[in-house]
Amino acid sequence: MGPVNEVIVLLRKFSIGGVLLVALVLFPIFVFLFKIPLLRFPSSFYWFEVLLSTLLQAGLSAFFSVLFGIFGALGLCCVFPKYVKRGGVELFCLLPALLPPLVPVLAWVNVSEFFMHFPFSFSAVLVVHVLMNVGLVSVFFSRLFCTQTGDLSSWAFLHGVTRWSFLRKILFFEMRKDIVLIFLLVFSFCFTSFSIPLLVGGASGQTLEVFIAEQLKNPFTWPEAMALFLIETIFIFMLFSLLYGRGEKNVQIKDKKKLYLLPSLPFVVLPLLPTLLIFFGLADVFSSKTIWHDLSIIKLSVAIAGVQTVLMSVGAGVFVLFLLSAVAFCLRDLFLRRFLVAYSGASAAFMGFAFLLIGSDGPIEVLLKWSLGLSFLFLPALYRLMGESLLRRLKNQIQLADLMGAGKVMSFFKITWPQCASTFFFLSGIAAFWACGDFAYSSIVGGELGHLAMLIQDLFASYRFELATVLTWILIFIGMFCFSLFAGVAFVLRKKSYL
Amino acid sequence: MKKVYLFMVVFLSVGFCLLLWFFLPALSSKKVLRVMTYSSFVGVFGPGLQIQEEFEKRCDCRVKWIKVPDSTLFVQRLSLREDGFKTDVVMGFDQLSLKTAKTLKWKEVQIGKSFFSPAKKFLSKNFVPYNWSPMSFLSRKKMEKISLNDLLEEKYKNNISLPSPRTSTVGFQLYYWIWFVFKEKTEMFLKMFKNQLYGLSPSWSTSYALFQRGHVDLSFSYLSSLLYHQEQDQKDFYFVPFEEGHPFQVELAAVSNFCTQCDLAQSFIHFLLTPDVQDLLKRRNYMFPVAISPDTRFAMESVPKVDLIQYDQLDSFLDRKEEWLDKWDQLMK
Repeated sequence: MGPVNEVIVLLRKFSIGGVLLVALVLFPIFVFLFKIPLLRFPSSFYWFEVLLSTLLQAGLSAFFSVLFGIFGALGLCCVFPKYVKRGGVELFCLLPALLPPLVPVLAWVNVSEFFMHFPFSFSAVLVVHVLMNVGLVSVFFSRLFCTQTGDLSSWAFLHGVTRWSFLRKILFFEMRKDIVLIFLLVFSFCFTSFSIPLLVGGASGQTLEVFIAEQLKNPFTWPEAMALFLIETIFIFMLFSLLYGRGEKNVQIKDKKKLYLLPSLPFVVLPLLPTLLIFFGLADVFSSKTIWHDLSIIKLSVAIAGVQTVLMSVGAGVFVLFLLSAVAFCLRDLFLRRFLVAYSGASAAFMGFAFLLIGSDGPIEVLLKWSLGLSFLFLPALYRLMGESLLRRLKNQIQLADLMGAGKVMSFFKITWPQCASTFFFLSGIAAFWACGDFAYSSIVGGELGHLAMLIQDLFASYRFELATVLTWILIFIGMFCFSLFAGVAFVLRKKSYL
Repeated sequence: MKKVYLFMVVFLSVGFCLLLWFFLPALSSKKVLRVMTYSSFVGVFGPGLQIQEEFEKRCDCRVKWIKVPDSTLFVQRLSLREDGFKTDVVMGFDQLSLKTAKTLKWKEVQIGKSFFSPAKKFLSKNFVPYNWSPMSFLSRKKMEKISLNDLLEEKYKNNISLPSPRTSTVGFQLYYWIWFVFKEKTEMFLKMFKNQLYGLSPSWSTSYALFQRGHVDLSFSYLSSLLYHQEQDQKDFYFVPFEEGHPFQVELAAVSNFCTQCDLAQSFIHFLLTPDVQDLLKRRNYMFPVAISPDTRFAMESVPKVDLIQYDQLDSFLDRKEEWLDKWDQLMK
């Protein structure tokens, strides 16, 4: 089927709900198009250099994350089912991806000091991105390897196939589409990453997102910012449209099998190392004598900021839950699903300024803007992570229900929701965890309120670097609390499965 | 399942009650003065909350802070909406951001105070200085007067931390200083200076944290940073004197043309110059006072004795700001 026919098929399958959802997600673009009727490219071609540098950074980050992730997965396959319970190990590996970017960045700055290595550069952005993603990629691949090639592994083991041949001819060949998909996921995350290049990029690590935020600072360069943002969005959109469609396949869920031929326990260090580095990097601050005294001075502010963080994070989780449910309700709308897979999401700066333009800045409005804006920012990434594969699996059941005359509402409540609720709650928990550490978006909308991540930023600016690091631990605990609220519901729903 | 839903209902209800508890003050009928400033000024260790408390006692009004991540965003924030977010006062401009600030309209402010000379130069009918500090590199050991060229010595290689001029006003002050001293040789100096840098961080705070933690010998900061170290009884921090003179940062406040409480805004700016607030700014914002107080608490003798550079060529530097910043990025890569 040619691309034109494909677009026609997509357009035939759109629904009003889907269009509304797309409009909602694209809302910052509409707000800015209304404000800036003209687009203009920056006069110098420096932006093009930044674009190339961002491509290189995202490409290398994704390459190393996938490379280390594949070997880390082999190590993780070894952990199952032999040693400790796998869930705990997986959660430990996933932690850097769940933590707000501020946390691994702080840890990296602390850890890098031991090596006396220049911490603000292109390579620092690369290292932090790999640290954040390698655990996630390892867990994904380990699950895939064990479910998809476990049988082949025992067969190859019995027939004396060498490890290298198995790796090359079976694992890489069979998994090539999945490798491309996961590479794309990490690439898009690194390409649109804002906080990390801003914090550790220095002059050489500047990315297009940071450059756009720079252009947004000056009202006279907003048309340039808009033009660059559209280039970035269209680029990611085309990349996913071209590669994701070809990469997708219906994953058959099989039982997990041990990989006989390949696993090598030492590789398990790869996905575990980033989490260990983060804990190590954040641990040394407790040795300071003045920390506890300073902490006692600001305990009330910490408590207030903590409550605001919880409200914002839970709010973001609830909004993500609603949005994911709305997407699931419109799951026949292929256009919406393709859009969400291919859309990179608005940049934090754009989202912030768009929300500033609407409504007032009263405390309740600001809290709602924080939660709603963050849910819009996280939705595309979370949907790509688990949402799309889940909804794709329900396609046949929905078609059957349609044939038997079930309405949309009935299909949603009797088929889609019972099977998706647990995953949606889990994804909302991730959104809540991410939200609690955001400062790039929420500090723009800010107003009078201030949550914990903003307090940490303020402490940095008041000479209190170590106190800020201590508060990062509190931030992690609050994030875990918010995550566990949603993950707990997800666990109960999974136990009480309708199936 | 019922238990799960019950738990969620209870959780959301508790959240709603907390919201009401937090936000009840917002419902009071008092006049509201809206002051835009950078967020660390209103942070737990900043002077903002204490200034707010004292001013509210005098004016029978409520001060509402509009926190902006950094001072480079003020003009953008005010231009974003037609009502400028009904901002009454903006505080946090410096000499280098004045040119951009002047693209907007500002109310006139009548000030009858005497100012210390470095700050006095930047007092205009619209912009009022409220604190200042000379800037230089800070070191962990006492140093004799050196020149900027001495920074290229081998012992400083990978030993200097700086904030980026693109994202930090402190970094931009340094850039102006280098340009002021070297003019057409600026590029040549920067090419060599690049090798001396341990880090080019996004903000002054991160750059200074590297210095505080002992990873570099020199960091570009304020002379008034020493006020913090004195307060903490940390004695090993010194200001490095330079032959070429020093840049300095004067922070300025202004009454916005969007103001709805314009009289209150004027009195707020006067309030900033009272001896008590000037003292508070010294203790909590770690910047020097600008107003000579009648009670001689801040007399001419209290002005730090350092040679300062001139800002009379600022316009020719700022006219090519973007070009200079692009050049910096290219050179530092």
